[in-house]
Amino acid sequence: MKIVVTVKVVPEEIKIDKETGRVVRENVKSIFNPLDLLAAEEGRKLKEEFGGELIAVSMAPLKENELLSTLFKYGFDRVILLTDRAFAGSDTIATAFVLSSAIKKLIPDYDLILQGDYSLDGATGQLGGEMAALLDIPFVSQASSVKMDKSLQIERSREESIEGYTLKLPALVSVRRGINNGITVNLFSLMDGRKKSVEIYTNKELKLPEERIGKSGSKTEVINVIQVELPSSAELIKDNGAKHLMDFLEKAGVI
Amino acid sequence: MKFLIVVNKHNGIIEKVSQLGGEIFVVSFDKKGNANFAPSHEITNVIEGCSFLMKVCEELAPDVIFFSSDLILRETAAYFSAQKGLGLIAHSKELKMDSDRLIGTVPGGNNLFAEVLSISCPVLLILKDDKVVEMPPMKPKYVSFATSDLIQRDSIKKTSANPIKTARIVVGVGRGVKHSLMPEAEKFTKSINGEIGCTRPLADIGMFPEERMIGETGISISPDIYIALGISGALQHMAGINARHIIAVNSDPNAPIFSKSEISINQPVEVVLKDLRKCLKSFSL
Repeated sequence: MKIVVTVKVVPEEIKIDKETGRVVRENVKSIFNPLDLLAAEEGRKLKEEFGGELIAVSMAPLKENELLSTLFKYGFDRVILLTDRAFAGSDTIATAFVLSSAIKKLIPDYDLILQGDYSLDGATGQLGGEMAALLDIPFVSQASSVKMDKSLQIERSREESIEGYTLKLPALVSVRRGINNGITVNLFSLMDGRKKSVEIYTNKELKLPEERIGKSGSKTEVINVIQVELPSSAELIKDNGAKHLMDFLEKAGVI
Repeated sequence: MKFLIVVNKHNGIIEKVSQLGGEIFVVSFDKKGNANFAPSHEITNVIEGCSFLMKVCEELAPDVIFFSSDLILRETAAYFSAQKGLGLIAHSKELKMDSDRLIGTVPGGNNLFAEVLSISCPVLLILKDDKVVEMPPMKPKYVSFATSDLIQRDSIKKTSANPIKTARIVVGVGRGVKHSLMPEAEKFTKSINGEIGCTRPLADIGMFPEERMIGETGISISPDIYIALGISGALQHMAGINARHIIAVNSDPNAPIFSKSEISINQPVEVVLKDLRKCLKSFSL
């Protein structure tokens, strides 16, 4: 079974550039999007059970090469970094295009793509659905259980119920928080991983049309970033807040 | 302008969109839904949702498609946007029209929010609003669509209802509430017959179960009264709150929650809880 996990590198602390409306990535420590590591653990378990290959794909600046190389210690067989200046400024749909096109080209015989439900920095939660549509494969989000039988069995909660889905492979599944307790370092992989290196692809190799990637491939635009206006301190209650709260609750007929 | 409003169970966004003017068509994903268009049979997955929506769009050619934030609608919005090569404005909280351009306001973290527009047509936009509103009955046109054998829903198990969704009073706790104070916060909540909820950081460290996490990536609530204890008021958290009255307690005078609160108490949560215990009988027992 060939399992692809898309891994996003996110800043540990989210800061937004007021001018551009984009997330600031300079001088901020980079980490893996935590939910993507949960997806990786699901992938690792499936590989353990059925054999095959576990492959990480990430679109990130070249400098994240070092961080991405640490993925080998979790049991990834291959780590692929997609990096090019032309990818910068991509919105979700342009990102989905880069990732799905690269997977089609580099891992055409993939069986399953796993990812976290949303990323810490963007949190649009739209990437999976968009990638699945571009790859023309079935998709389920918010999975709380991923199992393989003859076909892929997914459970997910939706409102006040748990839904069970059967998907034909290849498929894309995004996982929710709590699906597992995260991925741990595998000692064998730790040793083995030292011999491996991250495969780097730029658009020279991928040859994606410019009008579909980066800023020119984006279909949404941030036109303004607004700071929340805070009240003047005169409006704040500094003493006896409990009394104000009690008065309010009394008036509202709560107490 | 022709607006398509796609809803499932929650149709609260109809009110919001109506304020923009324009010609409105309501599309329900529920075959029994009160709408102008409904599916001829049940939609259970994203591929079917997309094929149904394509059919409706062929007939109507809308300028904007609004999606309510139910899970299957969010999935369909993403799938549809990529199939058609359209931009999607995700998780808008507010809308405005600026000389025929629709702008969505999206939470961006750090007390900032971004105004986002889509440069493709039709504009696709997901609006967060979990209300259910009564609408005059409509006679739906039933639209048939292709089913898919790539994905099938085989089972639905009911789980118990989440009381926080229907509570009149919700007390939210955030990082500003010390671990040792949690039992007090919970006791206070019980004493006013409320339900307790939390912010994402507290759910992340496992202090509260996921079904208690309020916000953009958690549940949405629409209580009469929301009492926020030690919550800074990150936009991602506020995106899940539709409360008539917000009362905030925070020791930081610059906490953004104070821009939303009707009563803004700038005192440590510990002090306020201690004072409440003194004067609120049901709490002190």
